[in-house]
Amino acid sequence: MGLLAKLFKALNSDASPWQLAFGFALGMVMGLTPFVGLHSLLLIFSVLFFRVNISSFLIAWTVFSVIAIPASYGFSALGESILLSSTLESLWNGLYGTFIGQLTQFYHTTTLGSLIACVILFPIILLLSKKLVEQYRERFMKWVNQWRIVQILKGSKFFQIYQAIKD
Amino acid sequence: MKSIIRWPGLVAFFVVVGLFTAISILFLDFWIKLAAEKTLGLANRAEVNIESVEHTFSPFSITLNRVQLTDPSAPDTNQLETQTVSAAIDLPPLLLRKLIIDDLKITGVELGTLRDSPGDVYEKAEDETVDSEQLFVETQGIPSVDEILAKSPLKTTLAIEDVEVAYEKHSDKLQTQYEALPSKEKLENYQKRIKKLTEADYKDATKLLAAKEEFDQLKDEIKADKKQLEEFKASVDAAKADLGPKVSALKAAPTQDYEQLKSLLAGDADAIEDVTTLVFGEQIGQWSQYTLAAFEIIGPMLKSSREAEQEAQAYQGKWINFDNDAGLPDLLIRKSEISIKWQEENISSYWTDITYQHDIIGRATTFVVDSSASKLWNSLKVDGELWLSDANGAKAQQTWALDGLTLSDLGLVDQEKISGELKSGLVSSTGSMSLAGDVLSGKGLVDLQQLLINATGSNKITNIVADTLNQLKELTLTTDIAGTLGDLDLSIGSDLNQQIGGALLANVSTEQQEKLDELKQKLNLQTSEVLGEGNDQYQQLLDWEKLADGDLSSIDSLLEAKLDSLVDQKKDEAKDKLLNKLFN
Repeated sequence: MGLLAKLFKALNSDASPWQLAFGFALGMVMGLTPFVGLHSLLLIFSVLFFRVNISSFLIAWTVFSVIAIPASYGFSALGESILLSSTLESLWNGLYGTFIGQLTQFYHTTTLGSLIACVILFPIILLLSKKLVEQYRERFMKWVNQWRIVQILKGSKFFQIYQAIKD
Repeated sequence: MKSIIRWPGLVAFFVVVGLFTAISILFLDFWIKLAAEKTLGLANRAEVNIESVEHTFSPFSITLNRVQLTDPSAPDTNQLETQTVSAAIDLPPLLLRKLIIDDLKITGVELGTLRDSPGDVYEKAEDETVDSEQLFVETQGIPSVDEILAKSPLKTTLAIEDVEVAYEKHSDKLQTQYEALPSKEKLENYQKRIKKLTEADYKDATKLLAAKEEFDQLKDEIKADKKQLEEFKASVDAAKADLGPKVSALKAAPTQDYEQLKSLLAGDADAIEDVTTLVFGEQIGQWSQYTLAAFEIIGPMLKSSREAEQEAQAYQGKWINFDNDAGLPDLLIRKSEISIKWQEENISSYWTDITYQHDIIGRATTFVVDSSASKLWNSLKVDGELWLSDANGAKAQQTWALDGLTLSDLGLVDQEKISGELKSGLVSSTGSMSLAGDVLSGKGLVDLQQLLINATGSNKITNIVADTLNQLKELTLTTDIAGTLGDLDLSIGSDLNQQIGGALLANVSTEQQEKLDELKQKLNLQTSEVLGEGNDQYQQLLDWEKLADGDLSSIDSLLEAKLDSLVDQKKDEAKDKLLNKLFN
């Protein structure tokens, strides 16, 4: 509940749409890829060190972790086909022998498959979420605030938490 | 515009990572305990408990204290329990998901210890037990001789039938053939006629030709008689070949029946067949667990580890190996010392290259036990090797030689009808076994000396068995090893069964002995009648054979007579006369 309130606050604040969008996109990567791995450390570092919206990152992480459960079979198949590709064999052999390569655990089919999928999805999610945030703020924020359901929500405990955080 | 860098975030990052690392290290022993219990449990097919775990970072090593592996076939006991398991682990390969242990020390290994509470079994093993309920059933009353005689099949009865049937089968034919044979007079007549024809002086060619015609006709008659004689001789030979062994069997049958019926009166003959297995089977089985521990425990565990690994990969994604890693298997224990605790004595075994991927390392797992004299034995040597391959399955061999192991207070059998324990004794054993695929084969010899057994029975038969066991001073057991990995099949043999059989026979009662004597008389009577008749018939066959041989010999000499030379001589004389007349 607190997390949703924070997100709602961020959406309605002057936080940069890029911050929110990067939060969503990085949260997606965090959610879709296996937790254990060097990439997770880099993601957490990026989120904390760069001015990325943490609420949107956490929300996206949660949502995409659920999506990752059925998607992991697809990621594994994708990773296996890439790892077993004869054209990339020398690349993988070289990487496999390096310490960094071993740390990345690229030779795990689900890890590589999900990372490749995330590389493709990242700019799309990034741009899409930025656009959505902008659209929300331009067109929907006032309109949404007028919704009866929002009025009700404003009188709810959720809104009181939101107000408390805002103040 | 705000900076894209969030410096406090950097602090937060290190705090988060630091906290995560600290928690991991703080609970490292707990994580290792959980992971080891789960992994070993899957490999063991039953619950595994680890009392505590310790670790050091430099060099990286972990120690598991009091590891208990539940026996899947008996959850109340541990298949294996160890005091400590210490492993020095090579860290870099762990990044490649490869567990390379440079040095593994397992101390205080005990087999078959009792558990505090039954362990969970994940995969039930099938088991068979030997029970004496169906054995040692006492005979209900003594059957009368007539009843025994009425109960077929007695060997004597069958042998009598065989002899009678065989004689009946041959006698009619032989009689008919015999009656059709040429008489002595006829043969003498042939001889006279041939003599007359061959010795006459033929001056007239016409007479000579007539004699030649008569001679040929005579020969035809003799040949026909010879054919009859030959057929008769063949029939005699066939009858002799058929009847001879049957008469011999009949002669032996009463004695065999007597011994068999004596066993029947003494007790259930089948009951003594499994005494060796019943009395010594459990103990030999336990010893086998020690000698074959490498294959019985480690083999299936390595196999299960591989299967568990394959299952996990299919579910959670696969770990792909690349060429430059060909020299490292997923699990490798380079050097290991395993110390088995048995009767307060430690037996150390030394292992190299324990893995389930021998094709990758190109070497077999080897193990050696070489223990010189101890308080319990003179010497113990075990060595062997094991190679598990995806392409060719498992291949292994093992030999052992144990000399003078002191035994004391060992429970042998504890059943309703018989119980016994080995108070003291010495055992020596040699043997070898091999494994091809999943199939085990091998032989072992167990030599028991200076035995002192205390056995008690609860009925007449088991009392005799117990007395025999109590008098036993030495015994040699042979064991045949068969079965598959994890399902060992031992068959045990010895002369104990014969000893007990003899003891049972020696304990036949007076009443039973009287009945047996009566039976023997009846059997002998029956047999002598048939044997007398059979012997006459057999003698007749021998006479016929002699007769046929003699007659055939006479006929052959008759057939050797020739008239052709005389005819040729007369022809030559006639030709000379004609030539003289023409040219003179």
